[in-house]
Amino acid sequence: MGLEEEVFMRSKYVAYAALLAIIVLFFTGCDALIANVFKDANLGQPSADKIKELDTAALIQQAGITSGAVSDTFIQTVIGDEATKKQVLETLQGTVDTGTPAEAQAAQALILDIKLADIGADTVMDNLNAAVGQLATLANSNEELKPQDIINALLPAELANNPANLASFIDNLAELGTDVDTLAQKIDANNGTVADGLDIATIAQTAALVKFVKIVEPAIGYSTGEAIAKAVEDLENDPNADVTKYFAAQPDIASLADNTTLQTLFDAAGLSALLDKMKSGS
Amino acid sequence: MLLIMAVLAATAQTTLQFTSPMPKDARSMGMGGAFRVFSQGYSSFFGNPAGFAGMSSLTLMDMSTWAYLAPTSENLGRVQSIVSGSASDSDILSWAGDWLAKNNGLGAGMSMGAGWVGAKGISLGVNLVTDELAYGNSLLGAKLLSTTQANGVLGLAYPIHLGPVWLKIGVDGRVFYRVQSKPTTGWGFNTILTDFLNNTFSASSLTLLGGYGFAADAGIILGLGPVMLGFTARDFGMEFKVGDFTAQDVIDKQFSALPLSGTTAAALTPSYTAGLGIRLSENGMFEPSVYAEVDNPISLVSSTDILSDVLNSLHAGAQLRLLRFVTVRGGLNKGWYSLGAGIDLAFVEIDAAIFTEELGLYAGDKGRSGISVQAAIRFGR
Repeated sequence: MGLEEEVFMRSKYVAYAALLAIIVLFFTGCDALIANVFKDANLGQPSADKIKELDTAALIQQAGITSGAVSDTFIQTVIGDEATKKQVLETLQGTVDTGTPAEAQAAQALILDIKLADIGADTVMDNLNAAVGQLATLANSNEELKPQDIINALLPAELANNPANLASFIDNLAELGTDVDTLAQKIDANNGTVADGLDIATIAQTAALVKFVKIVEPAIGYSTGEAIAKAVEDLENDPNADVTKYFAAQPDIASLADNTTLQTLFDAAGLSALLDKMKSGS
Repeated sequence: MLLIMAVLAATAQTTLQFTSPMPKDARSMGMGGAFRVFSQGYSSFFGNPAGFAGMSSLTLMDMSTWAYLAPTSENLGRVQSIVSGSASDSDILSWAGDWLAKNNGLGAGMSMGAGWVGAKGISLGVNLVTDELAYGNSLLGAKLLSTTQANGVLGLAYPIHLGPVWLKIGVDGRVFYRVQSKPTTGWGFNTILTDFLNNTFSASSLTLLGGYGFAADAGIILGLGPVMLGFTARDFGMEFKVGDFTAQDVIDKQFSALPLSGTTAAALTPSYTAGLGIRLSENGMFEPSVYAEVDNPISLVSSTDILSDVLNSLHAGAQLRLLRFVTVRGGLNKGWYSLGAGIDLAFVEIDAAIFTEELGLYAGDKGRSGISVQAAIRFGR
């Protein structure tokens, strides 16, 4: 074999090896490849200082709230700086108070997203997306859908395993009831028409979670968050534990169907049939 | 051109604006979405018409399929469960919700076509691209966007040599027929998936828009030795009309269901790309090339944060062709890694790529991962 031919053969083996390495990567998954080098180097990211100076129109545009996909990066930048968060919430609230119904809806929806992320509920909403199929299947089956089923499916470990954090989270979530009510009022004021591009179905889903927390009646001496946190803690130790002592009454899930805020949001999303199902208990 | 742009601007408020579906072909996606401006041969039917002024080729069939699903080990296991039938309906609903939330979309697409690129820069091609994408922040709110476009393309490109500098200029004209889900209402993905799993799905619930139109593309590549600068502008067209029909109409009446004279005005949104490339030892035993392209470079002129805006529109990629039959590729698609490989055996070409593309306004904000496989029967490159 001549030198030239030998070099050719070696090169051919290198080519085959490179191809083989990539094929192996294809068939074994590529978890490590799903990363963004610019983000890791903090390049091309939004600036808290610049966001602070934006008016509502620019905030809505840069957050992507009316494009159907709100920017997590933008929201995290806002909540990452206390002064920026305060200023942005004030700017948006001004539009909620004085803007047209369509502008006010977008501003209120952005306020809700910022507050959700600020209390760590964005993780819970991701869990809800993953669990919604299981919950729907349970709801459609003859099995009883228990509040504990829902809570267990939604809570990340750092909340489920830390009663104090969980109690605080639940109480903060309940406080968002005013924000979802305001959004529903703005939609009603616009004759039920939703501002272009708002993902109203996801907002309705969020509102249902907030309103679910609101109908939980804690026993005397507990906040809603404390009652749920205690119940979750007991159930983790013993799935058959009696947790009724933490609650004044069993949550009336069917009553959610009569909630005017949820009716507005689910109607606007074209999902009123879901509320009807909830009311009929099916 | 100015007249067309003026017409488009004047009618933008009342006209539905569509974007031409582009194939997520393995060659381009393996290089971070680059290789539009410096496309060659058949790829120029979707890239830069100036690429027709290169080596001639006859493509009897070029087929690409892609799936918007991160090819992680967990997802591969889930897909295996669905295919084998061991996944329950609630598993499928849960995974769909999870994919939508974590991958910023779920879906698949395909393109197929044939084309001839002549030695004198004349080219003729037909192709069809379809893209079916579910997107949204939650399963409950997700929409399914369906887009299919068939194109007949006639292109012309001309090379000019001025000493060490060379120039390629190309244009093409297209007649297309487009079918698309209604952008104003969309299709509820959760409803479709649930109905499908419950065997209650009805194609008559899927309303579509369809219509035909004409469009033109143009491009230029300026080179000095292996270094190239290029620009391409695509999807210039006059307003066209689309009409309503349903997916059930297509099942019942096939092609005769497609409307030819609708009443709703629509137009394609023009797109622009500029790039810089280096291609060494073309057709040699060791052929490396590097490309960097930016979307919508005109908007960068008025940018207040040029570095961020460049990074958020940058597609950079490189490929190494070894021994004229094996190619490995890598790239950054607005900062997301991509990887690909291909093999070229006589007139059969097979390529594959793993990619992530950015859907958000910032690098790393909303990545949608996927895989792409491409196969072609082609004489020439």
